[in-house]
Amino acid sequence: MKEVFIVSENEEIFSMFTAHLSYLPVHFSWVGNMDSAEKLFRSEKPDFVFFAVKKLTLLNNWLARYKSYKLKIPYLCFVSNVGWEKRELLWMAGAAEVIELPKLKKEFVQIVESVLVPKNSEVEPDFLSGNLNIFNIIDLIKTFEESDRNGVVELKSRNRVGQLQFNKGKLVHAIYDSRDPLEAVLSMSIWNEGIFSVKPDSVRHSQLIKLDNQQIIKECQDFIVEREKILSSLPDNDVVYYSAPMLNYEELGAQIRQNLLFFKNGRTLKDFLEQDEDGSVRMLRELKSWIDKNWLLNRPAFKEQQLLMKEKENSSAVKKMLSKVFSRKENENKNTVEPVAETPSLETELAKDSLKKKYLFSDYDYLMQFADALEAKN
Amino acid sequence: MIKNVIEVPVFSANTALADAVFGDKYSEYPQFRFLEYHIDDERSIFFYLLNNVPQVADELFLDQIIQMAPFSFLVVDPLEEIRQSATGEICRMYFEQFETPMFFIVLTNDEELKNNFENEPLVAENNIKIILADPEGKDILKSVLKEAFNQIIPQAQ
Repeated sequence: MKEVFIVSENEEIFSMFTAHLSYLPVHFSWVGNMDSAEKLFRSEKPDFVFFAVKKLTLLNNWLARYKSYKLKIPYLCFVSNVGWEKRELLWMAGAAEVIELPKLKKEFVQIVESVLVPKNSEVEPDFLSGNLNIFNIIDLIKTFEESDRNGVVELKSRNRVGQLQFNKGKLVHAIYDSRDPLEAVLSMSIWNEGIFSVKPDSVRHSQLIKLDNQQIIKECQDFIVEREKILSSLPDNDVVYYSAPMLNYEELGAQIRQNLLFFKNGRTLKDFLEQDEDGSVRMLRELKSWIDKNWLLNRPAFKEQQLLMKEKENSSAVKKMLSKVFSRKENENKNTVEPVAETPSLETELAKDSLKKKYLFSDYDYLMQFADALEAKN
Repeated sequence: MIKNVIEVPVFSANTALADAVFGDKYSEYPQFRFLEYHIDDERSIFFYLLNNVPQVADELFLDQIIQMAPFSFLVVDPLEEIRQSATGEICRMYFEQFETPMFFIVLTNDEELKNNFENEPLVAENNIKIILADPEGKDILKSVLKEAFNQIIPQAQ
């Protein structure tokens, strides 16, 4: 598997690689800026180095430093707004490719793929590696059991890395994050994209999982079914949800508050599940309960609560007194006068319109002068 | 010398995409990025680049800029489905709060994509105009501004 270092101040760029190129047999590592990369270059030698930086001046500085290490590792440059001449200079300086950011997703994938996977050399997974969307953890456990061998399986999915250890075909240990071994297996059992590679060995791995393979498989299957059940009970993943503005956040625990605040400016459940990719069953249950309890609101409900809050703020003490007086009068006349019913939706519409901020620009002659000046600009 | 200035808010859900149109020579402030586009010795356009529609009290001055601006820009990924994307959300929130006209800047030459955008209900309902920007163009900003001026001035006269 190829190792690629991404040298960038910006983690967003690294996410582009992990999000769109996870299927490649390549391990991307974000190593931060050149200062932190420099320390790593002393101990590790990747197959490729990608420099992603917005400013050309900074890129030139980084390249000069990189060249001084004399590593002879091919490198690519991602930079914004680079003209043809400067691009040629970068090529001459040894860059394997110069890619202007931002690129459309498709274009970006094609370019990077063409560099990492040379033409006419198809990536043929040998019998010891494969894709997790074809062969998942349960299949791996079954296969190892049949082979009756010792070995380690490395798993890579997006930016997550895990490991399974087998003794005579029995899964004895699993490593992922800092979870306990069985929990690590369950979390990895839902990885349905990424790659795995098997390394048979003759090491006797320490047995930290007491269950036998069939019991582990059963645990995984139950976990997947339960997870699917909760996921299917959740509303459409693409609906945008907002944390309820009228909720008293001080009464909630810090963790719940942090999770709810993720939805502060409107996010979909899909966004939430993506950032909490190994979402435990407990977390999914909580997510469902927040929606059931109206702690997370869809857009119309959120807007309604916002309006209610604004109305509440706007109604001063004097207004409250007046409304009390009038409501008393209304009550007195209730038996004689039929009140005029106003539909709530109309009220809401009117309130919405009154909240809209007017368009105040009107000096089109002034704008015309700008248009003329722009026309004359070289 | 005091310049004549127009202030234009620019929204984008994707900073890198906005940089492709507006460049990256901006000044960064907590709620927005600021960029001056120099037309001549007397005139400049001030762009306020935002990732969200102003909502909280400390962003209220941006509200006033939007109200006073001749138009706003929203930079859009040519291949995104705005109904479901963060761009769509910016758009909805914007038109819930403001009446200032908006232009979509789409970094593509593909006229067909323009039609697709124009047929989007969100675009049609809010009378959003689409401006295609040539990604390989020399001065993308100039051509975008020219088209925005052309479209906004006759409407008013």
